Amino acid sequence: MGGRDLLTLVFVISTIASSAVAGAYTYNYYQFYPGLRSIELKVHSFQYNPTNTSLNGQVVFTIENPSSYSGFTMTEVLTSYDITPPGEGPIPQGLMLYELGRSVALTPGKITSLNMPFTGTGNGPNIVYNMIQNQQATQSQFIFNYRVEVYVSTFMDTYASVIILFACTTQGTTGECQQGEIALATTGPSSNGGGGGGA
Amino acid sequence: MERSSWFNSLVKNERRRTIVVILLWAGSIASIFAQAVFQRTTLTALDYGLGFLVSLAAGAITLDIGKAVLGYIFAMTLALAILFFLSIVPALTGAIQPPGDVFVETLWISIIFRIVLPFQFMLFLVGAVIGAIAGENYFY
Repeated sequence: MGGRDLLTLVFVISTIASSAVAGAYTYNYYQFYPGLRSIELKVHSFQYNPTNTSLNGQVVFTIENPSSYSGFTMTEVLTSYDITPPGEGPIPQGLMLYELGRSVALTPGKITSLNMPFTGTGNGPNIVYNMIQNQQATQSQFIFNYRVEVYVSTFMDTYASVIILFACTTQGTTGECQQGEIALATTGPSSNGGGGGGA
Repeated sequence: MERSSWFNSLVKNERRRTIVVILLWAGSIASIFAQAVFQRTTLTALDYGLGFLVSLAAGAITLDIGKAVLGYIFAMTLALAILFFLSIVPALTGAIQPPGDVFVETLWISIIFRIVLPFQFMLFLVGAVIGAIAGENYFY
Protein backbone atom coordinates (compact mmCIF):
# COMPACT_ATOMS: atom_id res chain seq x y z
CA MET A 1 0.00 0.00 0.00
CA GLY A 2 1.48 3.31 -1.10
CA GLY A 3 1.41 6.66 0.67
CA ARG A 4 -1.61 7.79 -1.34
CA ASP A 5 -3.56 4.67 -0.42
CA LEU A 6 -2.60 5.09 3.21
CA LEU A 7 -3.79 8.70 3.18
CA THR A 8 -7.07 7.59 1.57
CA LEU A 9 -7.51 4.94 4.26
CA VAL A 10 -6.87 7.52 7.00
CA PHE A 11 -9.41 9.76 5.27
CA VAL A 12 -12.01 6.98 5.33
CA ILE A 13 -11.43 6.27 9.03
CA SER A 14 -11.39 9.94 10.07
CA THR A 15 -14.62 10.60 8.14
CA ILE A 16 -16.36 7.71 9.91
CA ALA A 17 -15.09 8.94 13.30
CA SER A 18 -16.09 12.56 12.70
CA SER A 19 -19.50 11.45 11.44
CA ALA A 20 -20.06 9.55 14.68
CA VAL A 21 -19.19 12.64 16.74
CA ALA A 22 -21.38 14.85 14.57
CA GLY A 23 -24.18 12.29 14.85
CA ALA A 24 -24.17 12.61 18.64
CA TYR A 25 -24.44 16.41 18.47
CA THR A 26 -27.10 16.21 15.77
CA TYR A 27 -29.15 13.85 17.95
CA ASN A 28 -28.80 16.32 20.83
CA TYR A 29 -29.98 19.12 18.51
CA TYR A 30 -33.08 17.08 17.70
CA GLN A 31 -33.95 17.12 21.41
CA PHE A 32 -33.77 20.93 21.42
CA TYR A 33 -37.20 21.82 20.02
CA PRO A 34 -39.17 19.13 21.92
CA GLY A 35 -37.21 20.21 25.00
CA LEU A 36 -38.35 23.82 24.59
CA ARG A 37 -41.90 22.66 24.05
CA SER A 38 -41.83 20.60 27.25
CA ILE A 39 -40.76 23.38 29.64
CA GLU A 40 -43.46 23.73 32.26
CA LEU A 41 -44.52 26.71 34.34
CA LYS A 42 -46.86 26.04 37.25
CA VAL A 43 -48.55 28.12 39.91
CA HIS A 44 -47.16 26.86 43.19
CA SER A 45 -49.02 29.21 45.49
CA PHE A 46 -51.04 32.39 45.31
CA GLN A 47 -52.39 34.75 47.93
CA TYR A 48 -53.38 38.37 48.29
CA ASN A 49 -54.68 40.59 51.04
CA PRO A 50 -55.99 43.80 49.47
CA THR A 51 -56.21 47.25 50.96
CA ASN A 52 -57.50 50.30 49.10
CA THR A 53 -53.94 51.10 47.96
CA SER A 54 -52.29 47.71 47.47
CA LEU A 55 -53.22 44.16 46.66
CA ASN A 56 -50.43 42.89 48.96
CA GLY A 57 -50.22 39.80 46.83
CA GLN A 58 -47.70 37.14 46.12
CA VAL A 59 -47.66 34.47 43.46
CA VAL A 60 -45.04 31.74 43.36
CA PHE A 61 -44.43 30.07 40.01
CA THR A 62 -42.26 27.02 39.50
CA ILE A 63 -40.49 26.31 36.26
CA GLU A 64 -39.15 22.93 35.23
CA ASN A 65 -37.44 21.38 32.25
CA PRO A 66 -38.72 17.79 32.26
CA SER A 67 -36.82 16.85 29.09
CA SER A 68 -33.33 15.40 28.95
CA TYR A 69 -31.97 18.41 27.01
CA SER A 70 -29.56 20.35 29.19
CA GLY A 71 -28.73 23.46 27.18
CA PHE A 72 -31.40 25.88 28.41
CA THR A 73 -30.72 28.85 30.68
CA MET A 74 -33.41 31.24 31.88
CA THR A 75 -32.12 34.81 31.59
CA GLU A 76 -35.17 36.97 32.20
CA VAL A 77 -38.83 36.71 33.18
CA LEU A 78 -41.38 39.36 32.26
CA THR A 79 -44.84 39.06 33.71
CA SER A 80 -47.87 41.22 33.05
CA TYR A 81 -51.24 40.57 34.62
CA ASP A 82 -54.81 41.70 34.95
CA ILE A 83 -57.60 41.13 37.43
CA THR A 84 -61.08 40.06 36.42
CA PRO A 85 -63.71 40.83 39.07
CA PRO A 86 -66.84 38.64 38.97
CA GLY A 87 -69.20 39.79 36.22
CA GLU A 88 -66.87 42.51 34.97
CA GLY A 89 -64.15 42.99 32.42
CA PRO A 90 -60.44 42.63 33.15
CA ILE A 91 -58.52 45.44 34.83
CA PRO A 92 -54.98 45.61 33.40
CA GLN A 93 -52.30 45.87 36.08
CA GLY A 94 -49.23 46.23 33.88
CA LEU A 95 -45.91 44.56 34.47
CA MET A 96 -45.09 42.64 37.60
CA LEU A 97 -41.58 43.69 38.55
CA TYR A 98 -39.37 40.70 39.02
CA GLU A 99 -35.59 40.57 39.15
CA LEU A 100 -34.20 37.17 38.28
CA GLY A 101 -30.79 38.38 39.47
CA ARG A 102 -28.62 35.96 37.55
CA SER A 103 -29.23 33.48 34.78
CA VAL A 104 -30.67 30.19 35.97
CA ALA A 105 -29.83 26.94 34.19
CA LEU A 106 -32.94 24.91 33.46
CA THR A 107 -31.31 21.66 34.46
CA PRO A 108 -33.41 18.62 33.50
CA GLY A 109 -35.70 17.67 36.35
CA LYS A 110 -34.73 20.60 38.58
CA ILE A 111 -37.58 22.80 39.79
CA THR A 112 -36.90 26.54 40.11
CA SER A 113 -39.21 28.81 42.10
CA LEU A 114 -40.10 32.33 40.96
CA ASN A 115 -41.45 34.29 43.89
CA MET A 116 -43.33 37.37 42.67
CA PRO A 117 -44.89 39.86 45.06
CA PHE A 118 -47.34 42.33 43.54
CA THR A 119 -49.20 45.43 44.69
CA GLY A 120 -51.41 46.36 41.75
CA THR A 121 -51.62 49.64 39.89
CA GLY A 122 -54.16 52.39 39.22
CA ASN A 123 -57.67 51.79 40.53
CA GLY A 124 -57.17 48.03 40.62
CA PRO A 125 -56.49 47.59 44.35
CA ASN A 126 -59.20 50.06 45.28
CA ILE A 127 -61.82 48.34 43.10
CA VAL A 128 -60.96 44.92 44.51
CA TYR A 129 -60.90 46.20 48.08
CA ASN A 130 -64.24 48.02 47.79
CA MET A 131 -65.99 45.07 46.14
CA ILE A 132 -64.84 42.81 48.96
CA GLN A 133 -65.70 45.35 51.66
CA ASN A 134 -69.15 45.95 50.15
CA GLN A 135 -69.65 42.20 49.90
CA GLN A 136 -70.19 42.42 46.16
CA ALA A 137 -67.63 39.66 45.76
CA THR A 138 -65.48 37.37 47.84
CA GLN A 139 -61.73 37.33 47.57
CA SER A 140 -61.74 33.94 45.86
CA GLN A 141 -64.00 35.18 43.05
CA PHE A 142 -61.40 37.46 41.53
CA ILE A 143 -59.51 35.89 38.66
CA PHE A 144 -55.90 36.89 38.07
CA ASN A 145 -54.58 36.34 34.55
CA TYR A 146 -50.83 36.40 33.93
CA ARG A 147 -48.83 36.53 30.75
CA VAL A 148 -45.37 35.24 31.57
CA GLU A 149 -42.53 35.62 29.08
CA VAL A 150 -39.55 33.43 29.88
CA TYR A 151 -36.37 34.42 28.00
CA VAL A 152 -34.23 31.38 27.38
CA SER A 153 -30.56 31.38 26.44
CA THR A 154 -29.67 28.52 24.07
CA PHE A 155 -26.90 27.43 21.73
CA MET A 156 -28.54 29.65 19.09
CA ASP A 157 -27.95 32.88 21.03
CA THR A 158 -25.58 34.26 18.40
CA TYR A 159 -28.35 34.22 15.81
CA ALA A 160 -31.69 33.90 17.57
CA SER A 161 -33.21 34.53 20.96
CA VAL A 162 -35.90 32.27 22.37
CA ILE A 163 -38.91 33.45 24.38
CA ILE A 164 -41.46 31.02 25.77
CA LEU A 165 -44.86 32.49 26.50
CA PHE A 166 -47.14 31.15 29.22
CA ALA A 167 -50.69 32.11 30.09
CA CYS A 168 -51.53 31.51 33.74
CA THR A 169 -54.72 31.98 35.71
CA THR A 170 -55.16 32.02 39.46
CA GLN A 171 -58.34 32.07 41.45
CA GLY A 172 -58.66 31.53 45.17
CA THR A 173 -55.38 29.95 46.21
CA THR A 174 -54.72 27.81 43.17
CA GLY A 175 -53.96 28.32 39.52
CA GLU A 176 -52.70 26.79 36.36
CA CYS A 177 -50.51 27.69 33.40
CA GLN A 178 -50.47 26.76 29.76
CA GLN A 179 -47.56 27.15 27.41
CA GLY A 180 -48.40 29.44 24.52
CA GLU A 181 -46.18 30.00 21.55
CA ILE A 182 -42.42 29.82 21.51
CA ALA A 183 -41.06 32.93 19.87
CA LEU A 184 -37.77 32.86 17.98
CA ALA A 185 -36.32 36.22 17.03
CA THR A 186 -33.19 36.84 15.04
CA THR A 187 -30.38 38.55 16.93
CA GLY A 188 -27.53 38.27 14.42
CA PRO A 189 -25.26 41.24 13.67
CA SER A 190 -26.88 42.01 10.31
CA SER A 191 -30.48 41.64 11.41
CA ASN A 192 -32.63 44.74 11.67
CA GLY A 193 -34.51 44.32 14.87
CA GLY A 194 -35.17 40.70 14.18
CA GLY A 195 -37.80 38.72 12.45
CA GLY A 196 -39.58 36.08 14.36
CA GLY A 197 -41.63 32.98 14.26
CA GLY A 198 -43.32 30.62 16.60
CA ALA A 199 -41.71 27.21 16.99
CA MET B 1 0.85 -3.86 3.42
CA GLU B 2 -1.82 -5.61 1.28
CA ARG B 3 -5.01 -3.78 0.39
CA SER B 4 -8.12 -5.32 1.82
CA SER B 5 -10.85 -6.16 -0.68
CA TRP B 6 -13.27 -3.44 0.48
CA PHE B 7 -10.61 -0.79 0.30
CA ASN B 8 -9.44 -2.12 -3.05
CA SER B 9 -12.95 -1.71 -4.41
CA LEU B 10 -13.03 1.90 -3.16
CA VAL B 11 -9.90 2.88 -5.04
CA LYS B 12 -10.17 0.45 -7.93
CA ASN B 13 -9.48 3.12 -10.51
CA GLU B 14 -8.76 6.83 -10.56
CA ARG B 15 -12.32 7.84 -11.36
CA ARG B 16 -13.73 5.82 -8.48
CA ARG B 17 -11.09 7.10 -6.10
CA THR B 18 -11.95 10.69 -7.01
CA ILE B 19 -15.66 10.08 -6.40
CA VAL B 20 -14.92 8.39 -3.07
CA VAL B 21 -12.65 11.24 -1.99
CA ILE B 22 -15.27 13.86 -2.85
CA LEU B 23 -17.93 11.96 -0.88
CA LEU B 24 -15.60 11.56 2.10
CA TRP B 25 -14.61 15.20 1.83
CA ALA B 26 -18.26 16.25 1.88
CA GLY B 27 -18.94 13.94 4.83
CA SER B 28 -16.00 15.28 6.80
CA ILE B 29 -16.86 18.93 6.19
CA ALA B 30 -20.53 18.31 7.00
CA SER B 31 -19.48 16.55 10.23
CA ILE B 32 -17.15 19.38 11.28
CA PHE B 33 -19.88 21.94 10.61
CA ALA B 34 -22.62 19.86 12.25
CA GLN B 35 -20.80 19.30 15.54
CA ALA B 36 -19.97 23.03 15.63
CA VAL B 37 -23.30 24.60 14.70
CA PHE B 38 -25.40 22.18 16.73
CA GLN B 39 -23.30 23.03 19.80
CA ARG B 40 -22.86 26.80 19.47
CA THR B 41 -23.75 27.92 15.89
CA THR B 42 -20.19 29.16 15.36
CA LEU B 43 -16.90 27.59 14.30
CA THR B 44 -13.87 27.63 16.58
CA ALA B 45 -10.22 27.83 15.54
CA LEU B 46 -10.05 24.05 16.00
CA ASP B 47 -12.94 23.58 13.57
CA TYR B 48 -11.21 25.81 11.01
CA GLY B 49 -8.00 23.85 11.52
CA LEU B 50 -9.71 20.48 11.10
CA GLY B 51 -11.49 21.66 7.95
CA PHE B 52 -8.21 22.94 6.55
CA LEU B 53 -6.48 19.60 7.30
CA VAL B 54 -9.30 17.62 5.68
CA SER B 55 -9.07 19.78 2.55
CA LEU B 56 -5.29 19.45 2.56
CA ALA B 57 -5.56 15.66 2.70
CA ALA B 58 -8.32 15.50 0.09
CA GLY B 59 -6.35 17.80 -2.22
CA ALA B 60 -3.26 15.62 -1.80
CA ILE B 61 -5.20 12.47 -2.72
CA THR B 62 -6.61 14.03 -5.90
CA LEU B 63 -3.05 14.83 -7.10
CA ASP B 64 -4.26 17.56 -9.41
CA ILE B 65 -5.08 21.21 -8.75
CA GLY B 66 -7.95 21.34 -11.23
CA LYS B 67 -9.51 18.19 -9.81
CA ALA B 68 -8.95 19.45 -6.27
CA VAL B 69 -10.71 22.77 -6.94
CA LEU B 70 -13.62 21.15 -8.75
CA GLY B 71 -13.79 18.39 -6.16
CA TYR B 72 -13.84 20.96 -3.39
CA ILE B 73 -16.74 22.81 -4.98
CA PHE B 74 -18.71 19.57 -5.33
CA ALA B 75 -17.78 18.45 -1.82
CA MET B 76 -18.65 21.80 -0.25
CA THR B 77 -21.98 21.97 -2.07
CA LEU B 78 -22.84 18.46 -0.93
CA ALA B 79 -21.66 19.19 2.64
CA LEU B 80 -23.82 22.30 2.90
CA ALA B 81 -26.81 20.42 1.48
CA ILE B 82 -26.31 17.67 4.10
CA LEU B 83 -25.90 20.24 6.88
CA PHE B 84 -28.99 22.17 5.83
CA PHE B 85 -31.01 18.97 5.63
CA LEU B 86 -29.86 17.89 9.10
CA SER B 87 -30.71 21.30 10.53
CA ILE B 88 -34.26 21.38 9.17
CA VAL B 89 -35.24 17.79 9.99
CA PRO B 90 -37.24 19.02 13.04
CA ALA B 91 -39.18 21.34 10.71
CA LEU B 92 -39.78 18.54 8.20
CA THR B 93 -40.91 16.03 10.79
CA GLY B 94 -43.41 18.35 12.46
CA ALA B 95 -41.41 18.92 15.65
CA ILE B 96 -41.77 22.64 14.86
CA GLN B 97 -45.25 23.83 14.06
CA PRO B 98 -46.04 26.36 11.28
CA PRO B 99 -45.15 29.20 10.87
CA GLY B 100 -42.08 28.47 13.00
CA ASP B 101 -40.92 25.77 10.59
CA VAL B 102 -40.46 28.27 7.76
CA PHE B 103 -38.70 30.69 10.09
CA VAL B 104 -36.33 27.96 11.30
CA GLU B 105 -35.49 26.98 7.73
CA THR B 106 -34.72 30.59 6.84
CA LEU B 107 -32.71 31.01 10.03
CA TRP B 108 -30.55 27.97 9.27
CA ILE B 109 -29.89 29.13 5.70
CA SER B 110 -28.71 32.41 7.19
CA ILE B 111 -26.56 30.70 9.85
CA ILE B 112 -24.95 28.30 7.36
CA PHE B 113 -24.08 31.01 4.84
CA ARG B 114 -22.71 33.31 7.53
CA ILE B 115 -20.36 30.67 8.90
CA VAL B 116 -19.20 29.50 5.48
CA LEU B 117 -18.75 32.70 3.49
CA PRO B 118 -16.32 34.05 2.67
CA PHE B 119 -13.36 33.29 4.97
CA GLN B 120 -13.98 29.67 5.73
CA PHE B 121 -14.77 28.82 2.10
CA MET B 122 -11.51 30.39 0.96
CA LEU B 123 -9.48 28.80 3.76
CA PHE B 124 -10.60 25.29 2.85
CA LEU B 125 -10.04 26.02 -0.85
CA VAL B 126 -6.48 27.13 -0.13
CA GLY B 127 -6.01 23.91 1.86
CA ALA B 128 -7.20 21.87 -1.13
CA VAL B 129 -4.85 23.67 -3.54
CA ILE B 130 -1.84 23.35 -1.22
CA GLY B 131 -2.72 19.68 -0.71
CA ALA B 132 -2.92 19.09 -4.45
CA ILE B 133 0.46 20.76 -5.02
CA ALA B 134 2.00 18.72 -2.20
CA GLY B 135 0.37 15.53 -3.53
CA GLU B 136 1.70 16.15 -7.04
CA ASN B 137 5.21 16.52 -5.68
CA TYR B 138 5.07 13.75 -3.10
CA PHE B 139 2.94 10.97 -4.59
CA TYR B 140 4.06 11.20 -8.25
